[in-house]
Amino acid sequence: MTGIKLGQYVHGNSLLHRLDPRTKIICCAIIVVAIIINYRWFYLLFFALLMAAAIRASGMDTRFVLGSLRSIRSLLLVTFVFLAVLTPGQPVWTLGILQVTREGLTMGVVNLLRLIILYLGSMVLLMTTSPMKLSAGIDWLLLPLSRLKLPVHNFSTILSISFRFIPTLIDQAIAIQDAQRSRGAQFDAPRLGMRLKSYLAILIPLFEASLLRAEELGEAMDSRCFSGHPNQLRMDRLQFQAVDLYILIFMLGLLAAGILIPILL
Amino acid sequence: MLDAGIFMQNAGKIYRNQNGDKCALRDITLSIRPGEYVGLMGMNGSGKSTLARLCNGLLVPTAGKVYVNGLDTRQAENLQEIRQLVGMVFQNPDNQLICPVVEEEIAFGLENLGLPLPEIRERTAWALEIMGLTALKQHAPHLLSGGQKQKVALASVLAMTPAYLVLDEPAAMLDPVSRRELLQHLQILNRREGMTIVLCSNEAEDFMDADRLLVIDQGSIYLQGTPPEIFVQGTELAAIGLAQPEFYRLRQRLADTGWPVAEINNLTDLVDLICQP
Repeated sequence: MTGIKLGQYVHGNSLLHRLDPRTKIICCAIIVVAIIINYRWFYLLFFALLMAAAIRASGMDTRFVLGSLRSIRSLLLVTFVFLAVLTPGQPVWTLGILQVTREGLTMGVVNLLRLIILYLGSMVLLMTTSPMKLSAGIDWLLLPLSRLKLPVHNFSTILSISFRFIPTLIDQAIAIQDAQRSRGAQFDAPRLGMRLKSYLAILIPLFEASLLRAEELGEAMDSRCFSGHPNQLRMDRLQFQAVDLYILIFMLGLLAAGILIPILL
Repeated sequence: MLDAGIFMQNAGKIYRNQNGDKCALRDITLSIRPGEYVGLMGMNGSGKSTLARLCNGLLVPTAGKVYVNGLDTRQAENLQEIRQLVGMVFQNPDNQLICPVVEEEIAFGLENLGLPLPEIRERTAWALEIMGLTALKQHAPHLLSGGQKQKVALASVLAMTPAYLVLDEPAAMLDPVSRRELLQHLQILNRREGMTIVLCSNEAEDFMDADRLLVIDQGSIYLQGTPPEIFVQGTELAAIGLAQPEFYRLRQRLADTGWPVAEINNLTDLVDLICQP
């Protein structure tokens, strides 16, 4: 597997790469809350531009990431059309029983912007944070939950196993695909039904192989006394620096502005 | 039964499933003493993997008993201690690496034991060093070669400082060079560090360094002795689908044609004899 893949960590040395993963995760959470509680167009537009700036600052291929928005275009389109048609209000066009309303169009644009912001935000998080740091950050942020006797360490083990096995499973899927293709499976058949059937021929062996893998992995974990432990070595690598603090303050400021604007205006 | 060592007393294992019972091991009595290098040779399905899993309580015997340093593997409260004593390396290098980074992989067992961070660091560094993996410690396991993955698996077990090391066909998926390297590591661990080693394989060549060899067939011990004692029994091995090492086969053929090779025990001497003017 070569080349850049969407949403996969790209090595770099930008400010965003060097930030503490916790900072980036919290910033993403702040963005989610901010754009839910305040949906004025200029506020959303500001966040959209902020995301574009973040992508630029991280040294990622800007055209590649923005171009990848095309991959969610049907989601964006469906969201927009449904909101435009189904929101009650002042009609703009009428097509039979369907009414496109003024309010609907506004809600459509707002949610379109929200989705784009969330998409770009998660891309920045995933593409500038190595899986290792990401899981360390999540581990740390979940720690308080262990006070509630939740099996947090088991959860972080599950997460880290997923990160570990994604590339292995991709490789295996490719191997199975090649094997099925060599036996005549048609992955590029013109008929959709045929194509789906071919993909099923990958999924079933992949699923079975994964079950077997899980069993062997379980044995290996048991053999090394697995007990659901805190991952000290991983956590120790987290470093919270001054710049993390500034960025968090800035984002909290934005959130506060989002809360205050509707009250003041 | 408080002696150091792994003891099996008439141990048997029956797998039960809807197609009826399958007897994987029957009436195994053996002892593995500290510092020994024991080989378990057998075909696929002979029961050697089951036998290996009995050693650290991954499986418990359905008949008889298994003791590790006097601890009964059937008692659940002994299992943590037994698994710390008996380290296990499996066949598929991909399916025994748990963490997304090599260093964390080696620390995995240590974290489970609840050791303090400085000790985790120290032991991880030691295990990386001893297996020659220090340069790879920040790598992702899926980017390593099969041989390197298997070394990581071995290092992560060694970090837990087990008294016994059980390896279930560790070299089966490796290329010849990595295989030789892995076996060399085992020999060094046994001779230099005094580590007890139990190695399972179906390849006779893998057991050249072993002190003692048990040949398993259909769930029972078929032959046992030192590797040279076993390897001369070409007919017996062939009867259960196993092959003699090349050297023994060659010597046998030479002896059959009247060469005076009975006293020769290594390849160099054999070559010298054949190449005499």
